[in-house]
Order: sequence, then C-alpha cells, then structure tokens
Amino acid sequence: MAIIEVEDIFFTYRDGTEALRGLSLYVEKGERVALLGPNGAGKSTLLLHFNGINLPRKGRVTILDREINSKTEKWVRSRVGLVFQDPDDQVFSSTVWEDVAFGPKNMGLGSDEIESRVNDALKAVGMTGLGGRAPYHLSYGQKKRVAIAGILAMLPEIIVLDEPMAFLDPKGKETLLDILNLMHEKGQTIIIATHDVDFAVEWADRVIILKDGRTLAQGTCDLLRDSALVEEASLRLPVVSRVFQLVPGLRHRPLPLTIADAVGIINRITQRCGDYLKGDGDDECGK
Amino acid sequence: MYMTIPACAGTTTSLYRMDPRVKIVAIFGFVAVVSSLSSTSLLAVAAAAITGLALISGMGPGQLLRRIAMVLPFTGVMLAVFPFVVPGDAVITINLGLLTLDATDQGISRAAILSMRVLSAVLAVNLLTATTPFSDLMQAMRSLKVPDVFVQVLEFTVRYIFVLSDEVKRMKLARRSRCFQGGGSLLNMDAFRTLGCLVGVLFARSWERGERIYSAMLSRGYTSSCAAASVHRPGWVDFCWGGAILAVAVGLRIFESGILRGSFY
Repeated sequence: MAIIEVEDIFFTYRDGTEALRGLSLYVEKGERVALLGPNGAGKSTLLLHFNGINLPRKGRVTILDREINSKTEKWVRSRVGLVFQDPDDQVFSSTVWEDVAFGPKNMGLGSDEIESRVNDALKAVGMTGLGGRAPYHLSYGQKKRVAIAGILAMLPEIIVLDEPMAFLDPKGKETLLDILNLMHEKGQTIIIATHDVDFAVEWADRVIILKDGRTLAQGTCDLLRDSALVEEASLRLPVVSRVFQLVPGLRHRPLPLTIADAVGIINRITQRCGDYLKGDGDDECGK
Repeated sequence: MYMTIPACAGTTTSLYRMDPRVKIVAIFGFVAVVSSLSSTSLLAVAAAAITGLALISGMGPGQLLRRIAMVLPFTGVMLAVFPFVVPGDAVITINLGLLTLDATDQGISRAAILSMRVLSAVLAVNLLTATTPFSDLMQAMRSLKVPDVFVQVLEFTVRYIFVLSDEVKRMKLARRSRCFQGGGSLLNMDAFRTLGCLVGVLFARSWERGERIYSAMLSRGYTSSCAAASVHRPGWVDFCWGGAILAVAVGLRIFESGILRGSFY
C-alpha cells in the first residue's frame, strides 16, 4: 500500500493559472523519491498538496490511508513535514531554539518533550549550541539547517523538501546529504523536488518526472538514460551519461548514470587497453 | 521577529518571569487608573514609579529614553496646540497682525496633564512589552478571553511590518545598484513615478511573501486558536508584583481624591 497516492488532481491558482492538470503518482513507504521537472512544471504546487495547504479542485490525495481534505489538513501537517525552498519564509522566530520549538508547541506537547525534541533536532542538523542565536544573523546554509530542524522536531513520517540543494555551497550540500541519509536510516520517507538531475541519480530510489502539471513518467533512475524522455521533460542527461554519449570511444550500453558506474566502466576500459598495449589483450579496446 | 526580542531578554529579573496574564491585568489596570488622575505632580510620581520598575527590570536608561522619544511628537503637538484652543485666563498673548492667539493657563495645565497621562501609559505599556516575549503576550491575551480576531490582527500586523521593511531594504538596494537618483528637485516626475511604482510593488511583494510565510506557519501546525499549552499557573510572587503595581495607581488615586475632598486634613 502506497504511503502517498495522488489520483488525477487538478489545481488552479487564484489568478487563473492552471498549475496541475490531471496529475497522478504514488510513493512507497521508506522510499527516497526525486520529483524532477523544469521550472513551472508544478512541483512546488504539488508539494503543497502533501500537507493540505493546497486542496485539489478535482481528484484525490491520500496519505497514510487518509484522504486529504479540510477535515484532515491539520492532522496531515503533523505527519508530513514540508521544508520550503526559502528558509527566510520558514524561519521567523527571534531565536533558533524558539523557531525549532514552534512546531512541537503547536502540536500541544509538554515542555519536557519539546525540550528533548528540539535538542535532538538541533543535534541531527549539527546546530547544537546555537539555540540562542538569532536566525537572521546566520549564514544561508545554517538557516536551511534550522528550517530542517524545525521540521524534524515534529517527527514526521514523511519529509518533503523543495529544492533543498539550491544556493548551498559544496560543504553545505554534503552536510545536507548526511542529514538526509540519517532520515532514511530512521525509516522516514523522503521526497525532494529538484531539477538537479545529477543529484537525483546519485540519491533517489525512484524518480517522478513532471511536466506542464502532469506526470510525464515515473520509475527508477533508469528513466534518466532515455535522451528522448529527458529532452521532452526539458531536463538533461546526467553529466556522466552525457560524457559517455558524446565520446565515440566510450559508447557503452547501458549508459552509466552515477559517478561510481562511470568510474567502474572506465577502469575496465583502461585495464583492457592497458593489456592490449602490452600485447596481452584482444582487439576489443574501448568496447 | 526582530523587534519582538524583549529589551530585557537574557535577564532573569522577577518582572521578566512574572506570569504574563497577571502582568497584563496589572499594567492595564495601572494605565486605566492613572489616566484618571488630574494632578500633574501625582502623575509624575506614577511615571517615576514605572520608570523605576523599568530600570530595576534591566532596561537601560538609553533604551528607555528612546522609547519615550516616540511619544514626543504627539505630546509636543498637544503642548503646542492646547493652550491656544482651551478657553480661559490668557497667560501669553501672541499678536500675528490679523490674528491674536491667547495661551491660556487652563490650556497649558490641560496639555500638561494629558501629556503626563500619555507618558505614564506609554511607559507602563513599554514595561509590559519589554519584559514579555511577544508570543507569550498574545497567548496571555487569548487566555484572558480577548477576542481571537483582535489578537490575530495584532500578531500579523507585527509580523508583516518586518516583512515590509525587509522588502523595502531589498528594493532600495536594487534601485541604487542601477543608479537611481532619488531626491533632487521636488518636480522630478521621473523620480516620483519610480517611487510610486516601488510603493505599489512593495505592497504586492510583501503580500505574496506574507502568504508564503503563512503557509510555512500552517505547515508547522499553526492554528489561529492554539490551546494555551503548558502556561504555568501564576504563583503568589506574580500576584504580589501585580498587586504592587495596581496599589501604586490606586493609592495615588485615593490620595488625589483625599486631597480634593480635604479629608486628609
């Protein structure tokens, strides 16, 4: 049974923009899903359906076996944590500690419980000891981590992140990846909306490609080998795949997606070529 | 929320730890009673008492003066206008050719009384906001059965002021980066047009940003009427402080009516 099931939803903004036109998808428990698509595909709009902020005009969203409507929207926000793209939209309290405690406070927890959850959440994002700092004096990466901590403190079963890697420096991206891996080990389902194809292939178990308010395709990362599909989705092939596609000597089927795959293939090729040059290998250098 | 860091935050003075509900009742009671005083000297005593309390609570004199300075435009206008508006015995006469303005004794004393009342009220409310975190204050008002609509309007006004000022800063930066020459001649229509557009866009952008912030708050379970979660019960210390504040006001009032009736002599 899928933990999230979206059936043919339609959503239009107040100004008349039709954002979602018959979108369907599903997410299994414990999965790492990358929601791919160009700007304007409807990713952010869709994410707001996962915690009941947007309610579909037509169609159904079912999360943890409950349909999301005006009656269940408060419940779903304690089970699905949504991290917004801009941490400044999310982090508004006067201290880090107060901000992370905002969610648990709204859930009506006791002060001891709140204290332990906030401390655990700050530890998980590596911000222990910074509880007294003012959020507007933090760096972008730190603010992002505070935003994530604020969601972790609510102990949601599903965590949804909107373009979490945007604007982060390499170290920041690494830290974020560690946090995501920790969540995955704990059994939480993670959904990330992104257009970073390279990140998606390295991290996701499944990808869902959106375009023009509909699901173009959903499946494993193998989908991203298909140049035609990737082109239609206004995305591009992962960098390693493109390199292998463009260099005649590296024509390899199937195309590697991740760096690890590529390195493995190149090692095999250089080994064979090495053998050939030494006169040991067959004539199949480069194949 | 940049302003909502209480001025005395980080200190552990009794007033800071006092139950917000008792504080609100005591301070609003103080303001109500003091605003009925008519003697400038007693009003001065009330103002001094509150100032003393503020200083004990860890508020610096500089901070205090800055907050009082906000009242000056209002009281300054009163002091300037009232003497000429209230009829009575002229003390100063100003001749402006066609017009003769009389500053009356009653006018001056009326202006003085009103200014002192405003000053005491502002000092008292300032003490309240400086020693209570904003969210606690709003929560306390809710539990005192203040209508939810009123509390929400207050909350969001404060939040959105900062959203607005954030946007203004960003827009100023953006237009300076493209060599916008503001100011100059009053008749610079281009500048006016630009500034007009900016004000309009400011509201549009602030509104959108406010919507996003509200969505983020909803995502973390914010509801307009959150249960008063784990609000500590007021202790006898809180009631002592509250009682003391009210006692000052009531005492001054009784003293004043005592003087008026001459029953003290």
